[in-house]
Amino acid sequence: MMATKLLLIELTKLKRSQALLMTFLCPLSIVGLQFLMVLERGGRVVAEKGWISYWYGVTNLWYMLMLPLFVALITTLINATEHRSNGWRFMATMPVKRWQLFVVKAFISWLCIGFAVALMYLFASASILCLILIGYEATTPFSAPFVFDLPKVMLSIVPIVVIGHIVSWLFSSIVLPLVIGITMTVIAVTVANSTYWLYDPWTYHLAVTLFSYDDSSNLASIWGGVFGLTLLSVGATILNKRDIVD
Amino acid sequence: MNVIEFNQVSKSFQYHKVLSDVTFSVAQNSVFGFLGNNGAGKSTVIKLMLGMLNPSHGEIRLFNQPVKQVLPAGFVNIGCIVDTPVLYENLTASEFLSFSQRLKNLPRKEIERVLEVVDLSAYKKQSISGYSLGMKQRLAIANTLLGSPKLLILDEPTNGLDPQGMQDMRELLKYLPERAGCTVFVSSHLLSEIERIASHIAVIHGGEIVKQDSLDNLKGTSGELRISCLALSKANVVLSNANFHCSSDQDGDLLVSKVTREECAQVHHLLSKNKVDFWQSSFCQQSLENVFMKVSHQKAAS
Repeated sequence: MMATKLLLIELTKLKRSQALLMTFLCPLSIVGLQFLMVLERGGRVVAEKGWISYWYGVTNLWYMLMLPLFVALITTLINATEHRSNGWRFMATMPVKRWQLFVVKAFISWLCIGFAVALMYLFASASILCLILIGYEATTPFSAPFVFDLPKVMLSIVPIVVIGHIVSWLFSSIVLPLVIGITMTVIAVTVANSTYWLYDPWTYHLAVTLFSYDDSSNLASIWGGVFGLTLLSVGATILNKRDIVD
Repeated sequence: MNVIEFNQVSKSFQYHKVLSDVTFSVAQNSVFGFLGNNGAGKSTVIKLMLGMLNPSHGEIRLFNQPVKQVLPAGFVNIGCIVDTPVLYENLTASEFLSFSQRLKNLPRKEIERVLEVVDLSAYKKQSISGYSLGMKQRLAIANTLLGSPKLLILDEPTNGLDPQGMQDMRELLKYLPERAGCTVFVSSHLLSEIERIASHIAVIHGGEIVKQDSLDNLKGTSGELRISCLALSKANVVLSNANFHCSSDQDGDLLVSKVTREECAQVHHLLSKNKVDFWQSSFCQQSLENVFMKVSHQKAAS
């Protein structure tokens, strides 16, 4: 009951917030970029390689570049609301346990990310519809890979959401969590194709989608879920006992 | 019954000790003023009281129970402002107040009630980012009043308020104990404000409680009597012979120190009896500011 109330409160905090704005803008920017590239080329690529190439263009940009950056950004923005407004002190005077707040905030970040991924697919589909309406044609039928991998993607990103959440909870500066996010995104692109991908949580969503092979998709999602929830429990236990000094 | 009790509480951050053996108690239905210079440890005491910090040593009790047992569930009965008002500027006043209202299981109409109390009803749908500092402070106060709390803990509650707002706040705090059975713990730099509302006072200096008592006991019953007269030297001799401590000030007035209200009448009688004419006499009791400055200087000197 208390968790539901806390969840509603945290959702209220998203109203008119930068976090909510970015949840719309980030997927829109990726789809918009791909849309403009196709427009600029005059539909030649679509005619030759089909809508699948357009879809891959959007999802490649999203999963390799934007998603890990967006995770860093959203966890930072959601916690920055508290850092900016002395919110930690305010929430510490509410009848809720600190670990509940920690878990609910992580869950809100995770929900925003899920919403952004769903929006990305929606915007990509809408942009294809727009292209068809303005006369672009492809010889192959439309297909949309990765859409049904969304539940696995959401499990695989749990560790990086929790890591981003812990870092941005601990540090009021927005720079550090973003630098960590950018650095790990660059490293992940290199590691994802190697046999060491399991050691880097920033590659798990790639193992589910773009770099999927054999059982890597299942392994990344299951391991991501287990590792992520373990991190969440450890983080909640440690932060529950910490002093609130700022 | 004591609502707040600190028993030999110490707090260190790494190797820096910020509080040392702090002991005080706040009785139920009292207004307790907590005074100290910047960095004296006021905010640390409040954070310890609210469970935001863990004490290095000692025991803190709220409502006769250890603070860790009472909180966070006990926040249902506690309203607090810690330092600057905490507000989410992207929200409206109603949305902000709905946080406490929901978590404390209060009816929705409570929001309307407290907005009326702080005179913000007309602005409840407006974004907090457009509020002045005084309006934000009033909104923070409204948040503390939700659900008629049994204990109010306020750190600098009059910050940013205009004179009218300060007077309203003063009236509200002064009569809360008798009207709502609420105990008020208030920390402030504004000694004159505290002097008007508090029944008990504690002074903290360098992380130690250096004085605590009722306001009346702290200020004492004696004061200074200022007499304006022409025959200054004669008045001085008459009163000195009667064992009063006399001196004169720059304006040529006679100052009789350490006198009670009863002794003032005796002074007037002596002057009249000895035909010393005076056209003005005023009694001035020791102010809280004097007490605070004296206690702080004594502690600094020691």
